[in-house]
Amino acid sequence: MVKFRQVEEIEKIMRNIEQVRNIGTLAHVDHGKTTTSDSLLMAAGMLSPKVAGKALALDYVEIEQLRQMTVKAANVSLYHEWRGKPYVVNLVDTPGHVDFTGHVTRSLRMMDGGLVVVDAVEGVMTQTETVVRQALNEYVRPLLFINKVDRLIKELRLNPKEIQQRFIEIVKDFNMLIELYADPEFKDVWKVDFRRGQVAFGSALHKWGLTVPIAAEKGVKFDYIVDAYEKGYYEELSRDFPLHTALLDMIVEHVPNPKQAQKYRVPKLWKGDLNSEIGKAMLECDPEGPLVIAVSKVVADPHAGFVATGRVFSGTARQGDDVWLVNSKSSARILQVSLYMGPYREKVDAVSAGNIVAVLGLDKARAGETVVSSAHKDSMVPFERMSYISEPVVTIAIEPKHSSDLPKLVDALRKLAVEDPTLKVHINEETGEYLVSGMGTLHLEIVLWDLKQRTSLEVTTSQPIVRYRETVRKRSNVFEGKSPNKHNRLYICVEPLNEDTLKLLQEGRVYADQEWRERARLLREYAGWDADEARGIWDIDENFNIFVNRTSGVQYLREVADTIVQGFRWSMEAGPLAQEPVRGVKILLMDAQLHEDPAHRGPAQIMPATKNAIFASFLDATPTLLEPLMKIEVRVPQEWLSGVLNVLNRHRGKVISLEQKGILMRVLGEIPISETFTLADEMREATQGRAFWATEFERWSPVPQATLNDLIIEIRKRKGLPPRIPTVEDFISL
Amino acid sequence: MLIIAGLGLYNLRDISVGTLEALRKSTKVYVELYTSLIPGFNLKELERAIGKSVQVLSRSQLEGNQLNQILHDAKREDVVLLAPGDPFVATTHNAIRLAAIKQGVKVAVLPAPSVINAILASTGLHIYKMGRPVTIVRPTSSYFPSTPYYVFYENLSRGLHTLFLLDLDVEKGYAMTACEAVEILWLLEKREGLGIVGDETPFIAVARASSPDETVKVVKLGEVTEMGPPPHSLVVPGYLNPVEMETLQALTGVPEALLANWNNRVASLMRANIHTMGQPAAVEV
Repeated sequence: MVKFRQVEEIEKIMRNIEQVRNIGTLAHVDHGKTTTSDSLLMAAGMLSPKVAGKALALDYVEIEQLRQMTVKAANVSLYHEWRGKPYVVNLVDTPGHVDFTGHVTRSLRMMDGGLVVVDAVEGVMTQTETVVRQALNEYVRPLLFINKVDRLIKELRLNPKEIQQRFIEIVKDFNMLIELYADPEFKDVWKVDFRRGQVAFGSALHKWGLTVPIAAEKGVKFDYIVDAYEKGYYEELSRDFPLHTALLDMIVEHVPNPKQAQKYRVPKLWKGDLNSEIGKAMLECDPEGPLVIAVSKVVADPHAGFVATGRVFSGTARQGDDVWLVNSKSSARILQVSLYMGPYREKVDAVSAGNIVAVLGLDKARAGETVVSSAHKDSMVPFERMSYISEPVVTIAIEPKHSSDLPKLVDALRKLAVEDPTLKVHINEETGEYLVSGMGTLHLEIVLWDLKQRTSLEVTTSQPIVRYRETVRKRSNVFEGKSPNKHNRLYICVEPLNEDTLKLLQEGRVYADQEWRERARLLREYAGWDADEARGIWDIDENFNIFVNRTSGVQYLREVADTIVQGFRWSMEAGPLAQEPVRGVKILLMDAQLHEDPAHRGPAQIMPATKNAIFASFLDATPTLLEPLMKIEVRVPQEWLSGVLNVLNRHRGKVISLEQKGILMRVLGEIPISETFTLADEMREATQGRAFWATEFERWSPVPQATLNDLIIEIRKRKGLPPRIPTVEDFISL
Repeated sequence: MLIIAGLGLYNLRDISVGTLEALRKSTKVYVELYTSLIPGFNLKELERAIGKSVQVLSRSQLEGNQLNQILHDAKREDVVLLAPGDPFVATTHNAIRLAAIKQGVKVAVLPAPSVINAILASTGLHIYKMGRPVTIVRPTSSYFPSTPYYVFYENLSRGLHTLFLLDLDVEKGYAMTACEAVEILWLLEKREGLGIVGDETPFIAVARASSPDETVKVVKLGEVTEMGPPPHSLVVPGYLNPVEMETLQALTGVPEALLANWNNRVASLMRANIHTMGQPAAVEV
């Protein structure tokens, strides 16, 4: 019998760090992550055995149940006994769809181990690779659970030997990922081994699971399992070999405790001085040290305000603590400290280092914030910025059916954007429309659903619109930009940023308010920048454009620097081709002439001068549009392969590799997002529904030259702009 | 031909006979009213006086597309563009003249009183000792230039008077008052810290220079002085000679002690800078 655990009991164990584990479940979409989590919840006595497997407790947002996918990370503290000792396993649930990798990355910081769920039939898929890579980037140890073994028996009718062979293949693929992406220090020790109980297999749906050591201990063989399914007594499996036991045993034994983990994770995830008081306390996971919380998530609770969830890296969080929010540079007081027990927060007195905490009172905190006790506000170096690999690629326009609802809508959108930093909300100044941009069409559908649940507002939305980017492909000549009064002249040229620079920006290693010497060093060493240019960076915007000042000794330049930067940002928001955001461009200010009198060089003069010079240069630098290219992976039986290839062909898809994977063909390819809106129907039709497939954002790619002009005109028409592509002459006046 | 003519400072009084004649003979008349305020100006009155309609141009029109149309017309007929004050003093309309020359349009200029010369009459300060004029702009979070402060400092270091022109946004209905300007200089003093703006600095505020209701007063830092409607300007004298000092006292009622004390301050600044400026001071001390 599973005992129901009291909060007090959990609290007590949490204070003993050797008995704490922080883990999360990671998987490709539909591989059974949520059913797996439910089996774990059952162990904590939170769900009855019958309900687990069906209830999807972590998906407490209704839409997620509808879609059988977890959207927003939820957290729960579980109780487990292993070899006669009690343990607390803090389970961080993570989203199962790559549209929301922002959530995944943030959750990873909270956990030390990741339970990677892989469908036994489909094997290691694209998103499995993505989540394992992300986990390893954050020094999270991945463990493997091979799920849906029942399908191997019932659908594919494999015999015990073939099942074993299948497992060996999956483990091989999995270990290959570790070989590829793990830090050298962990490459070997983190590979999983059947015999050592580092791989579990079973069926989350039927709630049974085993590891090799458990199977040996209980004397059970594959024949028995196959027999159980064939003869129909498989329900007994969950009684004899409960899944949660196999998983939690594996987790407790093979995931390092927070103290062990912080020893190697803190030096990798945090850039401060490890010999400082805070550094030492975090390395030691010291509950008596200065309070440090890394916030991974903020949710607006209708009753409690903003709830910030994060990991206590050192010290102990208590009600009434005065804290400092490093990124938002503000002070706050902790109003309440609680634990997650399933969908509910339970108020507790204190949560100590190494555990996951929910905090009320930090209204200015956002996902990624570092919270420190106010006594240490001056000495705290924030955690490195979490790097988001994804950029918004699809937009919808949204407006309330009744214009009087606008304030409500705006408020709700603002809250959603706080909770989900991958969501961008902005206003089209000309039309007054609210534009919501996200990581994919599904992401936006869920946002809309969420909006409706919260506000019951009636809204109208536009068709999804692909967000293109504008960029340049070669260096331009230097162009003069004049202010409207012609008294101010800026001389600017532009060039594409190289791939190495874009990589540094995407990974968050180079950013706007970084210490300039460090930034210059990174750009010189890793992206081949010229030393003077690297020193002269004035600004970096969020679409990865860099403004560089190459002038020296220009009179009054300092006074208008902020205005020039404003002009730069303004230009980058909407480029000259079709007013799409500009991406990946280096803007070099080569010279400037400014009016002697401040009244004649105000923002109304300098901003247009900046824009004119940038746009003229831009149009001279072989400008183009970039479109979001999705990576697509399809698994399909051989006989339906040609159907899949035809569909891809029709939609400008490119096949990168074709590979036999057991009985299935694995097609890896690329396809522009604009071609994916009807893909589901066409794929079903072409394969009679036999293809498993998934897409995720891969990269930005220039649109084909042959269609470029038509596309620009089409976007311009949609936006109500003159249907003519601007030229250099439009931005250089007499 | 394009005739660029000044409207002066107060009302039709400042329009010269020559300008009036040009206006009557021309086929089209435009006026810009965004670079300064003319307190007694009335468009209807002007139209009546010249017997034709006058089109008012906004900044975006004159700095944008409208200019080409005007120049196009000026190739075949006489077009007058009127501007407040003198068209080539505080705000220079050189960009327009250049555009005209480039398009082969003949240009004539008809001058009018400017605040630059009106201020000399209002205060009795001598033109021979005027330093660079400079505009104090309304600070924003991204644009708060220090130029006015440093121009003031450079002028003082050479014993020269400083005329501060005050920010104006006619389209938004904003005109900086002299008191506001003093406050902004005080903010700059706190930021830059050269010790030239304080209680001893004699700020001479001039409202509606050359108008019948012209007001000239001494403004003290931290005090509100009622100057009436805009436009206002602000003057701070450099090293004053006896005639300037007497005239200032007579016109503004400024206490002699304040001016004498200020003269000493300026003199010491000039001595301190005489070696570092690289050029002789305009006034021997």
